[in-house]
Amino acid sequence: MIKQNTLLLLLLVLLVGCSNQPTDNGMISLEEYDEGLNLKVYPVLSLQDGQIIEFSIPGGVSYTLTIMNATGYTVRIYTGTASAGITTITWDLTNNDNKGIKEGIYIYEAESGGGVKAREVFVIREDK
Amino acid sequence: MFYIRSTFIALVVILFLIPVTSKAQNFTPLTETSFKISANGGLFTPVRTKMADIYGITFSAGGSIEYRISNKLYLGFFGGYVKLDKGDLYIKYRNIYFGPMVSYLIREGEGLSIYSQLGIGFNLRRIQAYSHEDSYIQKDMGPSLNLALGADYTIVGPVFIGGKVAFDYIYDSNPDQGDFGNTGGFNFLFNAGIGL
Repeated sequence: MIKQNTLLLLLLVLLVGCSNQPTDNGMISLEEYDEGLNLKVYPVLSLQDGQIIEFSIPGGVSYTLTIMNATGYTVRIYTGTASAGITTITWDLTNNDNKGIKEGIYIYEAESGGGVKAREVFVIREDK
Repeated sequence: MFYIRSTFIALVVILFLIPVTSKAQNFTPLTETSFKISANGGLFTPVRTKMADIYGITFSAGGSIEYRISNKLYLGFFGGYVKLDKGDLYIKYRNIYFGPMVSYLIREGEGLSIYSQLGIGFNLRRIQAYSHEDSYIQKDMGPSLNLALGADYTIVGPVFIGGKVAFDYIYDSNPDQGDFGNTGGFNFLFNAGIGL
């Protein structure tokens, strides 16, 4: 009896432990994504050479825009102080050593005044 | 959150089971078996802070088959699967790894064994990002060093349960040239298996 109970409990533990976190495959809107933050990053789904990344933060506030590869390795950092309205940064698809990056998935993270916003971006080169 | 809560409950139940079952059952010491087959499941957390921010701490599972070659040493083959999918970003990370391993028994006693493991893995990594109607998949592969420290407790006959902490370090040389880059992470795993 004890053996049976033990095996049943063990099976239950394995089932519970291996159960997966429910994932939400539905799309969220930009409004939901930006809720509660004064920092707004416009979604860029694909970049061609020299395309821009835009975000809006209060004028006079310093910002850091970090572009990372898909595993969080920093590829490029831009820093500055925002002027009023939408701040525009043109990423020329190079890394911090000014070498061209390759096609792939990248993530950009804008940080300013305690607000942080990150989005994924696909870099798809025209010459491929 | 659901997953972390479930894993915590499972840990509590396992810790409760060890003293209860050890008094009630006769067990077969692993010293009397040649093969050790085990499966595990638990959590994986990347070492790189930014990677953890992007993907969170999520699911890891695996298994191994080992053959005892001496009193203290096992040779074997291990494999596993890591899935990272935090949900804040529309990006998913998957890694399938496998390779040879060696285990060293640090302690072996009345049902309890403590071991360390060293493995060389081969990793097949896949990241998928998607947004609205677009989807993009990036794949990469590379070797890894896998280190682990764990303990097993024999509960019923040759059946054992336990846990281990494993550190995986995947080598990948050009993180800003299309590769994923070197990544490390910790696995916190529940273990169950049988000695044959």
